[in-house]
Amino acid sequence: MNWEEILIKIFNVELTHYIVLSLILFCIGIMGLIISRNVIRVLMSIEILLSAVNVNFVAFANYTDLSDLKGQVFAIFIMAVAAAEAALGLAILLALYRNKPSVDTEEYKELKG
Amino acid sequence: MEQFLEFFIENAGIIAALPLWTFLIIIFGQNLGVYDDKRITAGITCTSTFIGLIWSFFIFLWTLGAQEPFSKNITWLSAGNIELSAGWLVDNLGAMMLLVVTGVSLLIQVYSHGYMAKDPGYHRFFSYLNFFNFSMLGLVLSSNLFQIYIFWELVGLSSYLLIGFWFRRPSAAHAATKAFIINRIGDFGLLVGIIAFLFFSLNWWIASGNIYLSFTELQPAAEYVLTSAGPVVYFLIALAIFFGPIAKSAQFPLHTWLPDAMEGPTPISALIHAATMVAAGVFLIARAYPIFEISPDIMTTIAWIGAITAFITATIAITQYDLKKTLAYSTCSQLGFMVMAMGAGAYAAGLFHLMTHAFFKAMLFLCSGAVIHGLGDQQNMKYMGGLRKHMPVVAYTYLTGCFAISGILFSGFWSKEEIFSGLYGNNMILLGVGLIVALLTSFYMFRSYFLTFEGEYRGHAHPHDAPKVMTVPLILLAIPSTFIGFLLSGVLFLPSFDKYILAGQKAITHAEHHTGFLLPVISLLIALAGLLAAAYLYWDRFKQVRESVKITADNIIRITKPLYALTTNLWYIDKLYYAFIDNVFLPVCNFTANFDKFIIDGLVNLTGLKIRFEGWTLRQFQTGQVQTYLAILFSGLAGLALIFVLLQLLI
Repeated sequence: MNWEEILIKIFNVELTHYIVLSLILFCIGIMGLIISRNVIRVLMSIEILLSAVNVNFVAFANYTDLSDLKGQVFAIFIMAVAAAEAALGLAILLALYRNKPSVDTEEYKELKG
Repeated sequence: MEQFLEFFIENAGIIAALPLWTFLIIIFGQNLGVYDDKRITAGITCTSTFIGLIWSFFIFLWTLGAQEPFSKNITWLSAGNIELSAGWLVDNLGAMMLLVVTGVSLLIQVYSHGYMAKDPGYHRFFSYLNFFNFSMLGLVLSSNLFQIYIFWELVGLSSYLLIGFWFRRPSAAHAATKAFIINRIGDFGLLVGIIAFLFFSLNWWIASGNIYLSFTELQPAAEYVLTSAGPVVYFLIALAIFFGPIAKSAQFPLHTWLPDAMEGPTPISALIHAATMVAAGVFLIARAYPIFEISPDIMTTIAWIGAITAFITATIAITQYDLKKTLAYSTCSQLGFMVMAMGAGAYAAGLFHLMTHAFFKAMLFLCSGAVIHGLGDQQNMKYMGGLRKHMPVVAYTYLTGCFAISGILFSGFWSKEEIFSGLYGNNMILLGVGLIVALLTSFYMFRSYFLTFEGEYRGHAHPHDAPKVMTVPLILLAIPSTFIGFLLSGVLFLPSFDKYILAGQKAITHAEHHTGFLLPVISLLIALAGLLAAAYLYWDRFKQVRESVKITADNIIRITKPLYALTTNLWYIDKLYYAFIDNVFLPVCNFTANFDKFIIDGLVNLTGLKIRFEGWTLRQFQTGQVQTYLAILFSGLAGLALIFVLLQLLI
């Protein structure tokens, strides 16, 4: 096999690759959500999760309806919502931080109903 | 005139309703603080009873001219083809009982006004008294077996309330409980008997269309039951019904509650536990007489139970030193007499004795109450004596009562004589028992008289005479105690009680045997012998004779030690019951209680524990930590995905 074929093989990105990427991102996000005690890290993990979804959307959109752009538009929406969500989350976190100088979820057990 | 009397018959239920209204007035008047005057309570109570007495008198007048008993009923319960009614039945027997109950109640209520004057529970006492009157009059007026059972329970309840009137005294509380429990045994028997009787005669009632269990139709129903159930089952049914009278009329072996019931106030002992309620058992036997009459076996059983009771309690009464207990055992003994007469077929004689006994025994109890009141709650005859000088009216009325109950010419003589002549033709052994009991009766009554009213005063408290409000009822009761037996005995063209009672009961065959003058003379001599023996042993006039001959009460007690021990220990019947309860009943109860506690409750608790464990297990997942939830969620998802993939590979 010459190097051109190898290049084609490398850069010939198919749907499967996107899905695998999305899966990896999703797993990283879940992992971050579950194991991190830091609220900032939790928020970041959620962002990663959302971007995994975005990747999925765009990939599927590219392979199904190139003319309609529905998937891409949806990805834009998700980004907007994610920004709002992050803003809200950080605001709540700030409010919490004023009460207790910590961003550790374990420290906020008394909020349990 | 006819219509005038009809009115009283049509509304006979008012007699029972009046005390109920009075009861409600007192209860609400007191609890809402409407009035606080004792005279109002006594006034309305006595007025209502007096109206009842007048009413009963008119009913009595009606029965003199009536051919058929009057009955008025409304349907009360109807379930399927069983239809139970409530109403009233007025016949000669009922009219007689109404007169006795209202008459004795009225005098005792007047007496209670004096006796309870200083008691803080005065109003409560009168409200209970009215409640009792309501139940008793309802019982007398009941038109059928089912209704009489309800009032039967109500008199039991009021008896319980009144025995335990001084409930802060432990002995009174115990006595009330004992009376209630023992009466429950009898009531249970009665209930079972009534239900069984209804069960076997149900087809007859449906076919005949009569009021169910009506007293007027008991005879054909009883015959139907006898043929459909067979003699053995019939005997058991009748015995179960007889259990009610056994407990209520304090017959052996359930008589032990009556002496203990003397813990109640003395007017109560006079009204409930001597004159009226305990006579309800005899009354029930009389009402349900057709049931018993057609089975000779049950009649013999009734007669023998009466005889045993009369004898046992008379022997106990001889050695008692408590004045009221002596009278209580005497009551048991006299009730035994009545039951014996009923069982021997001397129907009218038993009821005649019931009536005369109601008067003189109520009077005797009221006398004992006056003595106890005058001595500051002293009941022991060892600390009495010579009271005739301090309270002459009480002493002479008590003496009248003693003559009456012993059967020396006063009213008791006539009724006892009738019982004896009834027994004469029926069973000579019972007659012998009756004569022995008459001897004992005369002995213990005069013993109590001599110990209480004659000789030297042996007590410490200063005796004071009873007030007028207490002595007047005594005198009024002494009149019938003296004369009523003679007046109604049917000799010398006087009206006959027997004819009156039997006129309303055509179905009943009455065993009467004219025995000439022999039997009355023997019974009189026997009573006089008892009187002389008591006078010799306990009257101070004979002290020197006693001591010179060296035959005194103490010596006799020493010689007959085992017998004396037997009677002072109440024939060990109470002890036997307590031993049974301690050694058999309570262990069984403990076993079942523990079975319930550990096995049944254990099973219930085990299911609870299981649920709790499951809940605990599930609760471990509910930490409130979002991260834990996420971990569970995604591990679950991953697990499902794994299973899915594995399945894909396998298929």
